[in-house]
Amino acid sequence: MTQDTVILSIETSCDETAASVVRNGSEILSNVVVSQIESHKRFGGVVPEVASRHHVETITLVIEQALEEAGMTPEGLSAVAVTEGPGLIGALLVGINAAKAFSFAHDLPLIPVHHIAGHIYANQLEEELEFPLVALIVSGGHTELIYMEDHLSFEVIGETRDDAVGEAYDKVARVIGLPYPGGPHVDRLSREGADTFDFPRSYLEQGSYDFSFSGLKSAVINTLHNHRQKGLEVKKEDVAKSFQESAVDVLTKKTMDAVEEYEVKHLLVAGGVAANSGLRQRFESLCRENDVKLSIPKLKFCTDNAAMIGAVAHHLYQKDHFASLDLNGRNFIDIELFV
Amino acid sequence: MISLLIDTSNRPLSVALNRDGFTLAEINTTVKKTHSATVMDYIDKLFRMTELKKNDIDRIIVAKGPGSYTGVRIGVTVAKTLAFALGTKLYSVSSLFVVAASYSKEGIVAPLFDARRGNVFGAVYNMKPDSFTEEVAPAHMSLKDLQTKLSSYESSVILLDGQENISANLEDFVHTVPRISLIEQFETALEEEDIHSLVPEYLRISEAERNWMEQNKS
Repeated sequence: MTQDTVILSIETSCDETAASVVRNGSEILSNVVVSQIESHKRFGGVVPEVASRHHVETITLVIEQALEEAGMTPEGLSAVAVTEGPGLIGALLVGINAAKAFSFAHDLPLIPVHHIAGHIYANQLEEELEFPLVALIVSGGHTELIYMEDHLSFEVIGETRDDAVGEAYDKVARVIGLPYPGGPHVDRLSREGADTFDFPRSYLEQGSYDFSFSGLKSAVINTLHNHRQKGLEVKKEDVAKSFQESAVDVLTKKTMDAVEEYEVKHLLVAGGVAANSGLRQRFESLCRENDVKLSIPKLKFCTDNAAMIGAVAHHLYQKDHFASLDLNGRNFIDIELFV
Repeated sequence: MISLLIDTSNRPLSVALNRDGFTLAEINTTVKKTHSATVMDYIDKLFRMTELKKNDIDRIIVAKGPGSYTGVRIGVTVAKTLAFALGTKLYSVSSLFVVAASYSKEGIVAPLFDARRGNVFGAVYNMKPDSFTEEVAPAHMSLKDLQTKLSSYESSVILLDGQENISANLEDFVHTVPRISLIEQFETALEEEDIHSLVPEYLRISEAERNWMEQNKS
């Protein structure tokens, strides 16, 4: 019988200060997330320096709470895991230095984790991953299609050439006068609208799994601008629906093509935009039609959290993938090379 | 009493282990390396050099700022987390006072850090052998302001890391870098902190907040 691995994980790559205790990569003993969103709202986006300041304010409290809620003492831990990147560098450094100090104080191995690997493995908190699989990562900073032959094997088969899809959501939200973060608001409005604008779908060249959302974003902005100049009334709900339909069409088409070409039976969708109801519904019906198993994490595991970092760290622990005390944050890490 | 002392506020880095105020081991550098990668490694080295155990530590003293925002955050984060994890007491000291103490001479001293665009983080202390008085509290101000404040004293010395750009604007200063091992002879400069609530002393709000407040004055 193998021994349990119990990992304390820390995630501070953007605007959530998070810590979690996860047993064997899937059993969540605690999952504490302190969101800074209320503080960043006034700026209309995440301000890196402000984010870093908030992380220092709460980091030890969040770690303490994660241990307390798990009923765990440091002696019961196997390792400490932390997001190494990608992310806001100043924000990452708070989590990394806290993780290093904690691992040093208790003589625990330190496991560096790729943030996007975390988003993919958020699915493992709910069900086992079945390989080979394709994962679509959609968030404010990422739009990537990743093929996985096995655990910790990541092959990027497509990515955005300009804006991340979540970024496009936030921009569109701003031009139609919705507060930050705009994604959920656009999603909500779209339910009461119709696809009347028929914005362009950017599929790029044949056979490419890359994405581009800047054209769609510009089309929305230009259309609104033209309407306003002519004094025509614009139904916000229709703009939201038309934009969302274009984004969802492209995301689902490319993803389902990849599922077919790579002959996988399991599709994962992860990242903040995986919470989008339009995207979820479309994937649900497409996967049902094509007999593909679909996993989309619960809302709280779509957004940044530390439990997902602990889920990846379990596999890294099995492979002795440890860092020394000179671990530093990196704002970009190639996921194909990180293990 | 064993103390672990940490200062990563600016380019110089200073960490030490003291017993009853006397230095057992210290590492001081002024190389341009990221403190995030080095500070925990150096702290580990101090323990190896002294063969002390982590639980031998009675208190941690950290330079809380002002200085580079990222720099002070690294020191404060490491100090908070170590104090929390080891269950030791936590003390803070002004990063400017660490420089004053490192000068090791009596008289009126004004340590300062470059804060860009002709501004500095500065303070004025009257240093005596084992005590001091704070004449001007640490603040963000123009270099001119600080010089005006100093002109009221018969004699004074500006303390500065000569590698900082602002040294070009100064006719006279003494190159001084922090050596935090010397701080414990000034017990009154240390402030006991609640571990969870300690935050860096930036002495300046972020640029984004400043702009936001400008726009929302009314």
